[in-house]
Amino acid sequence: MAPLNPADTAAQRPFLRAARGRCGGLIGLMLFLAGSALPAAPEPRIELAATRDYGYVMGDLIEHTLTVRVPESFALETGFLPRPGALDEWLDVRSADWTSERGNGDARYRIRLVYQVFKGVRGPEKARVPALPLRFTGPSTLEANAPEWEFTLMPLISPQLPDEAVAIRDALSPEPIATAPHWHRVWIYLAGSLALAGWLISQRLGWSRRARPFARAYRELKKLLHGPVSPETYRSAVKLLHRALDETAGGTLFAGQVERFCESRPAFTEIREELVGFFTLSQRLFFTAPEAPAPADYPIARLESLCRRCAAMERRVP
Amino acid sequence: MILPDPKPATGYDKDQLLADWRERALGFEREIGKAVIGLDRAIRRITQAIFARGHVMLEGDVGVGKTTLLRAVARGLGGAYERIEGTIDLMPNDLVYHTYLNEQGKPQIDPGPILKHGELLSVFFFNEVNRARPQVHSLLLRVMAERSLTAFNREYVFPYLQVFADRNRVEKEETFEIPSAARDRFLMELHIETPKDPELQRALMFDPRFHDVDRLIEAVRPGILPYRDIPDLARIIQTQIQASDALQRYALNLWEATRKPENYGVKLDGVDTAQLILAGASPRGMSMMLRAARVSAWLDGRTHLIPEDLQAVFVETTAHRVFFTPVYELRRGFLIGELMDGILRQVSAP
Repeated sequence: MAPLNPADTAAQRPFLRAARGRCGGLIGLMLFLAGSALPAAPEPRIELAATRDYGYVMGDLIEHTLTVRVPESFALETGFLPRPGALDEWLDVRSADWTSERGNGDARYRIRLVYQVFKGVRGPEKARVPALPLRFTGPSTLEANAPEWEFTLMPLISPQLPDEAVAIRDALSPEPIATAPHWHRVWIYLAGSLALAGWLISQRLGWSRRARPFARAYRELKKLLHGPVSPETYRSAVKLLHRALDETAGGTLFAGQVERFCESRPAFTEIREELVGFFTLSQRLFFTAPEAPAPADYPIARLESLCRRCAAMERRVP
Repeated sequence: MILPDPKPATGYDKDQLLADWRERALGFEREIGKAVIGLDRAIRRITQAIFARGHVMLEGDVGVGKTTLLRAVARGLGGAYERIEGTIDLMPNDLVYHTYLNEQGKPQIDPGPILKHGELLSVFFFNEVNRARPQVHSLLLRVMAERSLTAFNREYVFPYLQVFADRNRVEKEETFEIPSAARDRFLMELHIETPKDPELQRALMFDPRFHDVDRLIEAVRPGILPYRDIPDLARIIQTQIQASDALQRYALNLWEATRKPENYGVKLDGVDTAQLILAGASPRGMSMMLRAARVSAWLDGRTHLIPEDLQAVFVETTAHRVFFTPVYELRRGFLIGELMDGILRQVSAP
């Protein structure tokens, strides 16, 4: 042990000598005790597993799995792992991912690294993946290195073949892709489209049926006439024809508007007189003589005939 | 042609009476048509209003013939006629009395324009009504609604009174919008516009007959319609002209459509019709519409109402009673016409 103060000498301070011997022993003991009380710096245990260390050629992937055990209080500093990209001039990192599990006071990390070699060689060569530094944070910072790893690289072309004689090979033929699922999809889409088209056509047909108010009115009129003809039936029949006229005119149609209606729909011109007669009947039936019996000069057959003629006119309109 | 005054009395033939008066009414229209041209529709509406015993508001641009038309109507109707100009400083008292110093230098109070003729007042013409203050509108409202007025510690009654008012729509400054309650008292609001026919426009410009309004008015035969008999006749018209069930349903549908146009499929460009209406037509408005429609049927020589009678008077009797929500009220001028057309187009009958 070195003297506490090199300036002190036994000659200058003879009375201190004995005391110094005692103190020195005490401090040494304390230091020893303190040293033995501190926990030993934890050593991460690193195991490296690789598929093989021989027979790699340019473009091959090298997969390393590092299993690292550290005390549970430490955590891997993932930002310190290499990012995908060039590691040096012939070695790339393709991916780096990790999983962890904890138990029995330990944290176990599985770090999976995939490298890709881009080194072209003319004969078998030794190459090495550099050591990988790892860092853990916890009560203190813990650093460790995954060991460097040596492997054998093989040439892609025969060593005897001069460079000039090397022929560039054709590109690889594309990998066949299974088309069966796509065909299934095509059939499903086709069936869906056909169903949609069918629905649209049916709607369109339905619409055009609806767009023929007189045809519809005529059908309803026939239905109405199945039963006995009462004054109420007669009124309903007149109303049916009114609604069909309204729908055709795109709004309510009254007696005074028949002329304009026929002008805008020339197909109806030839039944103008009949329409005027119908409006006269309707006015008499509903407004001017509502109590009077149904007029003899306008039997319900005449209404039916007018409706049929109107339906025929409406078919002529494109 | 001068017809004998057909006095409604017991034992008379109502049909004959109505037919005689109809001739008289059509003669009245022809006489008015001599003074103003291109306003046939307005003349017909005013005739309907006279026989429906309703007041009329005229609206239109300046110089389109509103005043001429009303002066001609007043002359044709006969009876006492008073006219007042709405001004911003006009107060209700100015209508009721006026004070002055007489020849003896003593203060004197005389009845004003409304009271001057007592119950014989037949036409009261309020020009530029929107220039008068709301106080004046209130007085007018009472006179129109009740045909009576309290002044000088007694009540004056005007059984034959018909109020015509006009307002121009050009100026909005120093004017007071007539409150909806007062507007509702008018049977009709007529919009008077310049005739569209180029021939009529040419006649208005070049025919010297139309340059002298006083002579034009003098050409109208005075008192064609004996105004004292009109209230009785109006009652007869209302009882004689019938409305069938189908027509009543149609009228009810029209009314409902002014309140809920969306239920009748009325669509206006850029308008949410469900949000458009603040208040639809009032029951009073609808009863006025029916009164006018009955007169329309009578003038056409029918004893039953038909939908066309309602359609003829629907816009003029109803449009001013429909109120829009504030967001649409600013576009009222455009929207109201569209709405009325839409309702007439969508509400069907029978």
